[in-house]
Amino acid sequence: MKWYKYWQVSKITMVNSLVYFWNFLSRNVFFAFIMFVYMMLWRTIYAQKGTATIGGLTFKAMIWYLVVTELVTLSRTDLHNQVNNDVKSGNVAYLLNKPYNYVIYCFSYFVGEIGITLLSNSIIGLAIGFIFAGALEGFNIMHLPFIILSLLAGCTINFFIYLCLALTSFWVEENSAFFWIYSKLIFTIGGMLMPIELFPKWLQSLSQYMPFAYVTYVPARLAVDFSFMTFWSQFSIQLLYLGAFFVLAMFLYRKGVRNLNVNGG
Amino acid sequence: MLTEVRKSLKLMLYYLKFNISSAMEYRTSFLIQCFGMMLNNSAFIFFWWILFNNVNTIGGYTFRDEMMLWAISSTSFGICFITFGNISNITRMILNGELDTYLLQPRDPLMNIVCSKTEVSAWGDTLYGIIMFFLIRGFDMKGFMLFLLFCVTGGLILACVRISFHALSFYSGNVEGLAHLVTDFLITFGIYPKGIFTGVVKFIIYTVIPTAFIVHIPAEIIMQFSIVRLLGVLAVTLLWIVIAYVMFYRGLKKYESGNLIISKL
Repeated sequence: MKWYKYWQVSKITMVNSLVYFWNFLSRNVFFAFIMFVYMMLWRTIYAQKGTATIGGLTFKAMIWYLVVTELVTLSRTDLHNQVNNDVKSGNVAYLLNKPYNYVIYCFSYFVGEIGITLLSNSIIGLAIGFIFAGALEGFNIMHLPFIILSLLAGCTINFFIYLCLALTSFWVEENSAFFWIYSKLIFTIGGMLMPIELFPKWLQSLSQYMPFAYVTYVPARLAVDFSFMTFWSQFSIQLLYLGAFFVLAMFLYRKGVRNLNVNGG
Repeated sequence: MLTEVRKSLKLMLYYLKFNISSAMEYRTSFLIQCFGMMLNNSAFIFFWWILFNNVNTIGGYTFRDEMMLWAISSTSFGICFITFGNISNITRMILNGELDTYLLQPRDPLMNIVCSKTEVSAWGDTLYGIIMFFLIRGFDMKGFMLFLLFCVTGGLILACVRISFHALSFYSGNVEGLAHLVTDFLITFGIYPKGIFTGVVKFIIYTVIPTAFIVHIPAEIIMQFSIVRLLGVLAVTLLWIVIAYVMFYRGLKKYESGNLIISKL
């Protein structure tokens, strides 16, 4: 019974998301467009370099790698903006007496929305991958459930990091720069724009200790170059980061609410 | 005709002055957004630096050429969003019947609408482009004058293309998604070397999405001056101003007021 209300929140969000189908479709058009630009860029780079692989990936594998990183990045909710507004406007005061935990409520909302976005983006992503690159050599369908697990973990870590940043609005009035900076960290050392094997050695080792690579790089690399050994070692680190950011979000919310000072009503 | 242009320019300058004072009211927020955006844009230097570490040229562009594209794109985008910050709201205003206030005022409605808001973070884009220019070219004053001219023409073309697409709302309802996509296309095509685009895409960047005239050709003129190409860029800018005005005022004849009572201070 305790979890039933959260399930209902996810269900309602899912239904709401389906209403804004065209909105999702326009996001997918951007997905297809950006992949098309990447394809042209990497085709030129592979032709220029004249080697079959770059960073250990063939051209086909590179396109599929980018499909997966884009899939994780585009399949996020804009809930952090709502959380930001709730805190800044004082609306959060009306949520305090509701019979739910705010952080878990946000997570249920995320689950509802991500269900639809991830599904629609995956269909488009698969279509883009097959049209732009063709089938991936040596891909084993049996690995797919493990890749999906890592993908979901990446999306969820991404959500909790965004939530933590949004909750800083309890202390910092203007925190939009945090979101920009975080998204660019994902773009770069998170390996969203290119695999981290292309980085200089010192940066590669630095990236492996940061949470950003576990959002985009890990699921994408597993999708194009799967091994059970890599999966178990990387997925367990993903779970550790997931737990850490969940605890941090709970802590920030509890501490923030104690500091809350709302005028008027 | 000339008096009308002078009046419009005067109105634009008044709005600019007013919008700057308004942004300066929250100085800390202004500075955070401004420097946050500069930091945000800097992340892409990293991406290109890594790529150019792997190949010497991409589509005929060196690292310096690519950074010049970034400088022009960034400052043009900044000028467009500082001066004409309300373009993104045109579709919503048309659909909600919110244009009445502007139509009743004794100034050019289009100029009045698009200049009435500003995007604070766009100051960061503008500054970023200027700093980037000096980092690439040093104190090349002739080049800088050309750079400023092209950022103004780029900002104008960017604004006019966006206005033209938003004006489609007069004919076919909500085109907000399409207008946003066009803005994404304009920005994205401009930050990649022209040499990677072939076939239909090459045709598109010279016509419907005129990124070649916003960024690529101006960058080439700064590197190697050509009066014919300069006149070409100015002619295309003028053409897009005419297209935006024709699209908006023809569409305006189909506008239906929403009888909405709003006050504009």
